[in-house]
Amino acid sequence: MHSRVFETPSTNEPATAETTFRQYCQGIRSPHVSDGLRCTRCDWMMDVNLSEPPGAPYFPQTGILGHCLLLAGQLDQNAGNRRAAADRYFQAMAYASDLGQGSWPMALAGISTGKRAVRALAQLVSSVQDDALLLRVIRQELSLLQNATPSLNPGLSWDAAHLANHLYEIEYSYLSRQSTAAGRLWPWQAIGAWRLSPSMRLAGRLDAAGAAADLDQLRQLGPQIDMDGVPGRGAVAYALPPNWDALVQEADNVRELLSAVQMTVPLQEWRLAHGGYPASLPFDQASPGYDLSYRPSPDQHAYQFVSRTGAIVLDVNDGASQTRAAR
Amino acid sequence: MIRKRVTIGALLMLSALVVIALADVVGARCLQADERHLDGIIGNARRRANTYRRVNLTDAPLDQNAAVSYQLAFKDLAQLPHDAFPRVRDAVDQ
Repeated sequence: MHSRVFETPSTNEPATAETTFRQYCQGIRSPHVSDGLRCTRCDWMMDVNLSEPPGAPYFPQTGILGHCLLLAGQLDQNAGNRRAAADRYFQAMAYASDLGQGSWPMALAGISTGKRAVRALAQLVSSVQDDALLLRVIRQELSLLQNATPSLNPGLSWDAAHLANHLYEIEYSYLSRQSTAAGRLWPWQAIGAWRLSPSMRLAGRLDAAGAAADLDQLRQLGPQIDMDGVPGRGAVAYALPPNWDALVQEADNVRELLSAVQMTVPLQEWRLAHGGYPASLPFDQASPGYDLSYRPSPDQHAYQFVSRTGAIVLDVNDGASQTRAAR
Repeated sequence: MIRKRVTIGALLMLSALVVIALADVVGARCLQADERHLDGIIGNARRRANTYRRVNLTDAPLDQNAAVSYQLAFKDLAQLPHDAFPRVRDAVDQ
């Protein structure tokens, strides 16, 4: 068994990004991390008996790894290496999407990392003053991330599988009661089917939620799932996380922010070509579903993207950007 | 009179047994349908996990499972001090 020695923070040393990275983030340079980030697949090999992957829980390591990738990007950006910074932010985004394929706690860490990665990309894009090539690269890569935001669906799908496995066991218990002579005098299979019926509906709804591409559908399924999972209603009890609506909203915010950031790239290109941002959007919405309002400042050196509800999703001002989450 | 009562009783018993048997046949069919449904749900979860493809934008792709590499990385990161996560998160958010 080997042990590792970590650099002890000096009490005199201020906690800068550099010192924090040096103290806690050396692990992201390991071959495990670099290999993982190059892989084509990510299957957490979830166990339907446990509803968790082997070795879980991984918290807080899931969060540390994602945030260390972001910190590495920030340090690259501060050093003027924007290309390397963009690579780190894209890696963090892809990693966040990978976490979304696991259990609930992993998906939460994925959403947290993903939100910060998109925010960092917004900051990076709005700071580009002279590098049209980098903007072109970021634009291409952002388009590939469209469907790679961390998702709540796999966690629901695994919960459905875990529940299904549990229902199998209950079903088997009813079938095995028939093996005795006394058991044959009672309709155990009919009783079992009746007892399982509400839980079957629950498992079906969880499975449907696991496949739902639309977050509004997830919002609608939430109360139905909770109602079917009330203790005593069926053979098993189940409840979504208590902050379910907030979670769906967070996942939605990441998608909405990504949609805004996709539009910041052509706007920044416009600024490089014309010296200011356009008076109106010279292109279509990146994600028409969000229908973000573009609001440039009168001097055309700043702009905001505003959601249908009136919330400022992204605020870009002369090379600086703020997002709703950061405000 | 007694014979009639015994016959009625026997018929009632027989009817009850028939009802139980029929209910169980229906129940068995429902359970079979449930079993197929449960198979489908577990299969869906496994299929979704198998069909997920990572987005890799920065390096030469490696046709392997990233989760295996991440799990090894998590083992290393588990040895960090307990306050590592809030410190790194605060540094990112500064």
